[in-house]
Amino acid sequence: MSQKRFSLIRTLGIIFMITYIVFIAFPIYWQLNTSFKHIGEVRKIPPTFFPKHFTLSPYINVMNNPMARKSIYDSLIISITTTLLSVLIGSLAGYAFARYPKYAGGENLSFWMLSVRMFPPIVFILPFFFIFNNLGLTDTYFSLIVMYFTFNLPLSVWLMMMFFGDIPRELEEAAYVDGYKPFRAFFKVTLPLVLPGMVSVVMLCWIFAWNEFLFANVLVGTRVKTFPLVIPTFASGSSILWNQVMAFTVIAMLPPIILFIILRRYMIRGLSLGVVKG
Amino acid sequence: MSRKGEDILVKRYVPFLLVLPAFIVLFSVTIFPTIWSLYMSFHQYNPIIGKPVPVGWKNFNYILHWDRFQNSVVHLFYYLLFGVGIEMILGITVALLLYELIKSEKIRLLLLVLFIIPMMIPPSIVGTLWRFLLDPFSGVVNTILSMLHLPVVDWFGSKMALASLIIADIWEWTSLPLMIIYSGRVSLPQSVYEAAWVDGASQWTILRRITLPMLKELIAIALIIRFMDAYKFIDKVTVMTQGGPGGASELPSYLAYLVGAQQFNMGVASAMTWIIGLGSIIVIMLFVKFMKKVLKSQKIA
Amino acid sequence: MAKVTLKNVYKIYTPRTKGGKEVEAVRDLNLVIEDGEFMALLGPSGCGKTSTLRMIAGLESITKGDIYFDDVRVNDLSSVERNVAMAFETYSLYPHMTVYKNISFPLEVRHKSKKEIHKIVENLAKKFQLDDVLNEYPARLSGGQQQRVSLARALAREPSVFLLDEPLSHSDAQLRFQMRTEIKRLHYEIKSTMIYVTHDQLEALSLADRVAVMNFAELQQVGTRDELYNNPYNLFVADFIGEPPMNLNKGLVTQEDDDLFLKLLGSSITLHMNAERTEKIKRLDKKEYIVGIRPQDIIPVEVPSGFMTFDAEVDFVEFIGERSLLTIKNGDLTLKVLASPDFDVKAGEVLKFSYPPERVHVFDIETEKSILVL
Repeated sequence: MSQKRFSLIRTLGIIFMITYIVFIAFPIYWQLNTSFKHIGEVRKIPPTFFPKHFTLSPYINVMNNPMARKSIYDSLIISITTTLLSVLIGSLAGYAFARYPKYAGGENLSFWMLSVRMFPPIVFILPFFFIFNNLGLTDTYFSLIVMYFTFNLPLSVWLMMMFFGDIPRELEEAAYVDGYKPFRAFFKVTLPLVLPGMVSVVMLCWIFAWNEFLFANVLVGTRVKTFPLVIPTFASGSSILWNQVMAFTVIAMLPPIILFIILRRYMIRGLSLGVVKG
Repeated sequence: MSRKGEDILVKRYVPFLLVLPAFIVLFSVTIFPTIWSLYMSFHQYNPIIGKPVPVGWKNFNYILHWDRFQNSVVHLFYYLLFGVGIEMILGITVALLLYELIKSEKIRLLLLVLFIIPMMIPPSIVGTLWRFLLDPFSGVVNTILSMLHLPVVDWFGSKMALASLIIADIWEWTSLPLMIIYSGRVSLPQSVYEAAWVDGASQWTILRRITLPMLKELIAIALIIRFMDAYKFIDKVTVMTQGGPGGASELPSYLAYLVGAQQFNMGVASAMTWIIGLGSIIVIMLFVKFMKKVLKSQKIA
Repeated sequence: MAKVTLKNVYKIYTPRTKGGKEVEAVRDLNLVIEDGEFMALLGPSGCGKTSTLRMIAGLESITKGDIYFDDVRVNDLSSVERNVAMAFETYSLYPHMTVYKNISFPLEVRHKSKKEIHKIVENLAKKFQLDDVLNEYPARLSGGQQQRVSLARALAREPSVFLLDEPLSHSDAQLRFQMRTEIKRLHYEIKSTMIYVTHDQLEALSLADRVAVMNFAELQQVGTRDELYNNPYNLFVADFIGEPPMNLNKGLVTQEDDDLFLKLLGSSITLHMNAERTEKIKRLDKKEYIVGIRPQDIIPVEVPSGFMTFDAEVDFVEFIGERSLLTIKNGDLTLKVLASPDFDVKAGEVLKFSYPPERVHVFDIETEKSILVL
């Protein structure tokens, strides 16, 4: 009897899982499906579940669109600069918190830093809009780089703190005993060990900056325009050219997804904020 | 002798110097906005029209009696109840099912990667994608509904706009609790389950008395993270509905953004961000509490 | 209480990845554990003892063969239905429950009344000296306390079989000693069938009524302490049981008049045997055997008594615990001898050594079995 009931629950569980998988996968599938169609086929009813006339023209159109190209370029500059800054400064503080928690300001300081990340961005947006406006810095790379840097820094500090914390102090001390100066010991022993973690921090910071919409929407938008601002209004004349919009979204979301798939092991840990040791 | 003294100096001040840059950056970017918006929330100020004029508590008074703000708070509760609530239940269920039903490591990883992809996609793309899927006339969801002879839905009408936002949000963020709970479940010791099994506990009892209680801190953390994101929920609103129609899908943060960054009414907007900020501080403090608990238990284990 | 019977039991692990090899963890195991008996499963790690225990517990499926509790075949019954209790190597306490809740958990899932549960828990707490820590969480307990909680939890209901999986392997020496006494007393009190897995022969021999020695997935010998010690069935048991291990050397059969001896290879030592073994060797008619003699059974004698002695030079002396261990040499052969510590001897001295002929163990070279079972 119990065997029967168990298999019934099992079946229900499998059905549930499949439903969820379809729910998650279908939008992505539809996005890809649409991006390879001609606009005529996109508008056809009933829709085709596989492109009848497979075409790359939406992608070619997007690539040839100067606004799309410029937005990708802007996004790249801003996200790469901000990532380098946050990982560099964050590693310094993370190392200090991990090795000398008492002298570095302790748990309270580290948690205060984390809470900055958790604060609703809307709280910071208006004052910064005001100050950048007065300094004539709106619509520049600088304004977004500063904001993204600020928001990435707490995450970078925390993750680096956890990764450094995982490396036993004895390793460094062994290097001291072997005659290394602390500075060299750090570069010879600690840094190589923490590198995989660092890579994941780089990726998380970069993805945040690459994906961000709200700050960009308020602080830039004319001379500088990142792609998240462009996509919602892209190819929307009298009626929206969904195939081109979808092609653009595919192009823009591929880098973070490919990076995620390559680095999934580190990323999963970083994403759950290092809450769960893996 | 001097070598020893040097070491102590290094130990005492180098950590401080290492933390200093991060501290300066974070301190300066938080202290200025705090003071500025506190000042502005007691003033009437539109940078296009003129200089700040002190108005006392008038801004707060106005907001608390403003029906649009009240509605947005109601929407926030709907979002928390249905959006975050479903994300949590769905995330926990799928995470535990994934662990129980699928034994192959490869398939598990494959599904995890699939589930996490929505989180990696830029929110503005998520919004755009769902606007496309749910488009009342040409969207595939309505097309499928009509093919199945079901009534089509006006997804961006005043009744469904908020629900549509919530659906997109569930799609994007269910993976977060899912992932946290899944990693937690994986790290629970197998032998405890064997003990419970030998002790005579049924599957249901094991779930209720062993698995869920052992994961409760992680569940709380996942819930709080999602809770805090509710205050950040602006991007998809902007892309999908612009708060409309007629404010039917406005959330407090979006309203503050609208009033401040679109209408330049800095005083009212600042007061609103203060109210939101105070609300989020409570949530953040809860988060810190649970986080410390988890970190502590890991240090023991 | 139940009698546990294992009949031709196999456990074969199929590989998880393609191309992996099947692993035979338990091969053709036949074993009867009597009602109320304390049986130890002893063997080096990887010998199949834990797999056996887990199959009895119902945590592991049985690949081939049958397990009976009394007359009931339990292969397809769950742990619950078999009514086994188990104490785990890692204690496996529920970290989120207090000691009280840990002990009461198996009772609660059986829907006992609150009052009844309270009585049982109080009782067990007293027996295991856990009264003071009933409201603590496991993480705050010492290793010994955790161990006692895990035993108390296993005993909370009356199991038909009580299984212990290396329960002392994580304890320090003193705690081990103390817990050994407790477990022995426990068995004496509850008189339940107990199966105890361990890799420590001292634990197995001191606790169990009978010991089942396993190696390479197979049962080597089952018996009481004396049987294992005095009559090892094969080379593995001879070598594994006993501390320090038995001296094992090749021996050549030599005949002088009507007498049969075994001449230890590389030395001038000739060993006599009792009549039973001499008869066996005559019947088997082979030239070479493996000869074993325990360090305890070789006795240095000061007065030469002629018969059944041999000469050897003392190579060096070690003091181990309360005995001294001599390494002695004759030709190219070295033997270990256990002597009392007040036996005054220096390296380099040549002594006479005596031995009881009935304690000379002889094993076949090919089958590695004792000639007594051939």
